[in-house]
Amino acid sequence: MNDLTYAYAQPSTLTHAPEGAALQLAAYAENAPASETACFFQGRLRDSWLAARGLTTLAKVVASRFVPQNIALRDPIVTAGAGLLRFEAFSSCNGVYARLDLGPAALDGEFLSSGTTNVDFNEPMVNALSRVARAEPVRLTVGQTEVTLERAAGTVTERKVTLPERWLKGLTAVQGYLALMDEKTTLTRAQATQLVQSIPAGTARGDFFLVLRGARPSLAPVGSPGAVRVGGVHRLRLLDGLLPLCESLRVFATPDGQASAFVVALGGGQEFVLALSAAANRGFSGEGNQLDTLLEDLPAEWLAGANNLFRGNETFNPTLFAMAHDLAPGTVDRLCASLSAMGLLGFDLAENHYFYRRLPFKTDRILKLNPRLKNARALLDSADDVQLVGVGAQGRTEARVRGTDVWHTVLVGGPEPPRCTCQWFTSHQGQRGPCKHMLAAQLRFG
Amino acid sequence: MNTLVVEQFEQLIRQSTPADFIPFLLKLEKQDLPAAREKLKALKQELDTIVQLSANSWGTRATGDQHANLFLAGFAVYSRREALGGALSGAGSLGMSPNDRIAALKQHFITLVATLRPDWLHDWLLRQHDRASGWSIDYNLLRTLEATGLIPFSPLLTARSLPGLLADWGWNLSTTGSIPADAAAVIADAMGGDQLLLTRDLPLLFEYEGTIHHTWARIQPPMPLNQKGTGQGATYLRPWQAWDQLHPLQTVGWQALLLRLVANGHLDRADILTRCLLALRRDFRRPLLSWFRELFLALKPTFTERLARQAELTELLAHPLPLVVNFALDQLKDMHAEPGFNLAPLLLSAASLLTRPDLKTGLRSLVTGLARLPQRALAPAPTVAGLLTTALAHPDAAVQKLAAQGLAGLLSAPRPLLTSAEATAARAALAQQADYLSSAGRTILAPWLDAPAAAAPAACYTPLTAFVPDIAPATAIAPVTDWHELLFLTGQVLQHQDPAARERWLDGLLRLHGQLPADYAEQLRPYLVQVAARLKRSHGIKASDLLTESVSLHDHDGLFLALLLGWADGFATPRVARVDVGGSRAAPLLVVEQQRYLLVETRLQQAVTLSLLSTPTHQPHWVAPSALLARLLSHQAAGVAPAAADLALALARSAHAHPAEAAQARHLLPQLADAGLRTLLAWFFGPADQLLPALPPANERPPAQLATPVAKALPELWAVAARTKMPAASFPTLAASLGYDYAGVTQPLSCVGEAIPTPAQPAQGPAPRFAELLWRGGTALAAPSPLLLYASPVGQSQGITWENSWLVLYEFPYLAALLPNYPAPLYAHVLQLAAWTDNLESSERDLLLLGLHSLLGPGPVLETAATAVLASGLIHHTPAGRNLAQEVLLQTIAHGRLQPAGLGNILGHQLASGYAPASRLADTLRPLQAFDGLTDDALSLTLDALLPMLPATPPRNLRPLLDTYADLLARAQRPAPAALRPNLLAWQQAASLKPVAQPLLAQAA
Repeated sequence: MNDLTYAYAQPSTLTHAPEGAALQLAAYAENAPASETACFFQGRLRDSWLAARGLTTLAKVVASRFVPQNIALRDPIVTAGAGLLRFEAFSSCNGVYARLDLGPAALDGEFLSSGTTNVDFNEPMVNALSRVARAEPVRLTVGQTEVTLERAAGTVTERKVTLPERWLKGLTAVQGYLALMDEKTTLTRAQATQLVQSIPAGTARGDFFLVLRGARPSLAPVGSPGAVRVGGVHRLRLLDGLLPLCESLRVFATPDGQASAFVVALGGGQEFVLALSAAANRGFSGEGNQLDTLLEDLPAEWLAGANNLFRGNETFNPTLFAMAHDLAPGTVDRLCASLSAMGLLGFDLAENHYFYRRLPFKTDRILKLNPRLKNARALLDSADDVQLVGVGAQGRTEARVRGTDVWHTVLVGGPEPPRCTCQWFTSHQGQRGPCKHMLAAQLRFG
Repeated sequence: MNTLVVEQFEQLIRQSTPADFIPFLLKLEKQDLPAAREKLKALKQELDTIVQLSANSWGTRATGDQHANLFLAGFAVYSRREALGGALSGAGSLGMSPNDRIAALKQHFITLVATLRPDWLHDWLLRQHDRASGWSIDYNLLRTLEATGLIPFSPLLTARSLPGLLADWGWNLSTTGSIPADAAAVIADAMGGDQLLLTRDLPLLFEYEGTIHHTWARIQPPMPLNQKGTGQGATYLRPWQAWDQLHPLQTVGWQALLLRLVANGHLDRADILTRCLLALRRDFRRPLLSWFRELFLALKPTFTERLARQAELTELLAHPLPLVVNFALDQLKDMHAEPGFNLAPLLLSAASLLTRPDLKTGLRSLVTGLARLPQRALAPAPTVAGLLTTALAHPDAAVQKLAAQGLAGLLSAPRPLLTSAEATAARAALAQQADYLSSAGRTILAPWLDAPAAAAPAACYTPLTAFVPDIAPATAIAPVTDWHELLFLTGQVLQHQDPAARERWLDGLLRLHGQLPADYAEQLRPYLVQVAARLKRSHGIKASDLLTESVSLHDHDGLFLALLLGWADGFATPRVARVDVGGSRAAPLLVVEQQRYLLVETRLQQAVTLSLLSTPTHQPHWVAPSALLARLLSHQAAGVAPAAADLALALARSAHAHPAEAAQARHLLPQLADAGLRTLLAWFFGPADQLLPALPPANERPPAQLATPVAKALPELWAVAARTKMPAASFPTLAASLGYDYAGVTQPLSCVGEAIPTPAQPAQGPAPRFAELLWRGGTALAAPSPLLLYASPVGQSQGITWENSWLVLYEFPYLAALLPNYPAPLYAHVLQLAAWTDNLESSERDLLLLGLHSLLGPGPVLETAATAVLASGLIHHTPAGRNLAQEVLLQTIAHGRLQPAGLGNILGHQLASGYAPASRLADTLRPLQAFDGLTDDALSLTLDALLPMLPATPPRNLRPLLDTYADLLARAQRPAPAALRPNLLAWQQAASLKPVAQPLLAQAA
């Protein structure tokens, strides 16, 4: 599975001039039309200092890694549309997702086109961002004019970056988790600062739980009713530069505690989202929380139609969308899962709606980026590899599915969650999505 | 493809020097490259792989020249993809200090790449920097590559490589000619002549995270191999010491060098000052930020220079690290009143600074400065009042006190600084912060605080008198009902350390015996594969061999695997008895557990499906008395004699204190045929205060063993029942019945940590780093009977090794599940292993964490050993230990399990012995106060007992603990106890303690 390699015509820069600074983010969009001008936004940052803090925190997330591995500096994805600029990124280990939203109140300029692109985050630019002073006027340009002309002329690229496919996989899992999350609590700035100071020193082992004791937030090593599970809590330190500046901090978590998110309201139309996976050693790319929903193929024309609709609308609420188009909630879930499996959808917790990313509409990515689903389909290629044993009460189906040198007993259907005797299920007990054996049994008998 | 060329290629790599090899590489034809590439990969695999060279030696087979040839050949034969993909390694030599061999290699490298001009060289160097943290290319080599147009100028590579230039200078000055007296001056002069370095490259050191803070030039001639030591006896100097005396080492760091360059005018002082401040804005690592701070301070900026950089300094106030913020506040503190100082950004930043609990020293100066501004009409009083009110919530008592003083000054100024409306708003804001105020702050601001309408009576903590387990349908453990549940439970038990799941699995095996599908063994095979994978590392075993070969199994995990393997082959081969449980020393109670597993195995072999007596019926591990009676009656009906080990554990797990359950058990009791057992259970489930009946004395009775029938093991069962029901009681008649006594049988377990006296130290010797405690088990011999579940652990802490801790670590959750009524012996074991001195290692830490974890939730009042485990956690050296202990403390208070006096005594004893610093306990307790009246009261009671235990000479850094105590007493609305008076009298002599000791003393009087 190859990563996508993309190139910038020139590096991103922040230049200072007497009339103010100019932040030009070089972009490379995978599906940029050759004939169009690849410039998404031009204008002024209303609170450049705060935006610079958000962008440097995003750069910190990108440069961070919480498991031993090589540094894999990647550049954020920026989506321009619906009056917002959304900068998204993952840590190198893929267990932390961060997004900086610059809303209409934060921007004073024009959106030349909607689109999604990678922006170059090089060290000099991060350095320059850290030097932006309070009240310093800064102009922001995302993308650059005539970039395609330069590409067509074969301009020497300044820097090549590999977009890891696991980012796309991570985006799928993250939006799946974010869409499930409930708001647990809201902290004031003082509480948020106390929270970051209560993070245990060093690398935290095991889970921690956010609890409010009186008005004081604490991170406790044991759970209690109402506590929010925060896996790999030391990763929250990524926010230590932003929390003293925030207006409030909203805390979200999935009902099963497998992911948590912290929405930092910075004021002035700026918001920073940090989502954490269940543990420091669990990247979002390996979660597989959307596999169940992806099982059933939707007609290609449905997907294409939904893609065109969302592409035009740029944001939508799934419940309202289902009601407006007289669709079953399950069908909308499958549509969303399929589109997000191509990296096309993100989820905005604050507004409780999906937003659209203009990435290539490649349905082959659904299988390519979900090897468990692909392997399950491969099991179905042979008639003997998935065998029905019987159907029990309430439709509980027992199957035998071929594994490596053994046959696995698989139970699917009915009110109980599916089960399997394979190593994956035994280790994770269903917390990281279904195994390929369950998927194969569900595809054949489900 | 020319075969001869490839052969020659190989031969040259193996046998030639790099100098001889280069001409060949330069003449390689394009059509020969694919074959040469493959040959190079094969040779690299052969020569560069680490192998065992001799019995005790590992390394690569390649010689120095072969390494160099392999590396150089890569530039000639690899494509971009291969080079960037990792095939071309060995860049280390391009970054090392120059010795002759390395210098020659670099020259060959330049010759080669200058001719071949690989277009991927720059990308390859960047990739090498990313992959090898800490490695950087030689700066001079980088400049050469850049000058010859082989790579473009790269700020990143330059910033990474430049620090190493200083190390190269050290090498050059040490090895060429005479050593200069002032090496720093020589280096500075040389660098001063390099304009590109000064104007383009040096500024990059302030923009990229690098190694500038720990790179030095070390100038000293290399010591000859035949250097001898000098002197004799006490004056003997080792060779290197003698060499140091002859040729003193000069060390030149970047800071000294930059100061020289600034002093010589090669660098602009103003520019460097500004760059330091800009570098401090970055998220660099702490040591590097400290270095930039030190450089700024070393330049000794004047007041005017600092004032000119007020904007840069104010920007630093948003930095997440206290070291940067404190530095900025320190630089700004004398500027507030200056006419040229712009206060607005400072006031803006102060709003977010004053809530940061990690800032203390800097905030004190900031608050002091802020409080003076309105009097000088430099800042609007309402703004300052708002900031000072914000600071009142700060956890640091000094910050809070200064803010309170400042606010009081504003509100009581002779010439009003606030309008009436502003003053009202300030008082309203103050009222919102009232809950956070310490006693000192409250006293200062008393005139502006509303008096409490009616002082609410402070909550009063009292420990639980009797604990009744929750035996209800909601806590009932559902037995395994069908084959599929049992199958998937097997996987759960296999991979997860869960005592409750394992108990359900054991019970399920017995219950469902005979109801399994015909192919059940085949369905278990995936789990056998997982077992084989787990055992593979030590045994190299295959899944297919598991059932046919003798597999070595150990400890609790081994007991489970033995049953699983037996189940898979229909229990044709008994396996449980062969499991090595390591003796009672390694893990107490494991032999009793083995007996239970043996019982299950035997029953399954004999197709007897009776449940074990000791299988828990209610969460977490309780056996309901009525269920125990029902099981005994089932055994009786089936004609199966109960096993003594199983019955002893059932008694230990019994919820005997549950009145309804005990009554139901008593109701069933007459149906039990065994009169001896009936008598025992009648007492056990009888009234809580019923004395132990007179037991028949034994004559020459041997202690009961695991397989002893219940009738002969009754005295041991009485011992278990008595201690389960009355943990703190004495049972003097038991010894006569047993025919022997043992620590923890007739008398309750004694668990006291005695401080080991520090041996007299030689005058010149170092002071001992850590105090040690001796937890005595009270006995040096193993218990006479394994059925004595509450027997004291053998030995003492100093005789125990880390292997013991490691063994118990895995077993502890299972063992703690066996003794829910009275786990004291296990806690005594934990104390012996993991709490005998501070700063023990990770296995001891993890064991203590397990001990602490088992104290969470409802349960009986903590006895001495459990309290000592909690105390050890509260002063543990790791944050993980203290965090968990905080939760345990809160939960034990909430559930009424804490005995504050007991905890205070143990902590007082430990702090007095110097086991841990008093400030550590203060840091642990401080976050727990002021959110719950009950907790405040329990904590104050704990400190009531603790503080009198401390010596009259106050332990170091006692002030934070006394501050916490004073706050707690204020909240609990009561004075310090009289027992503390002598210590308070002594402590008030110390200047640091006087401000807090005196008011406490006054209250105590």
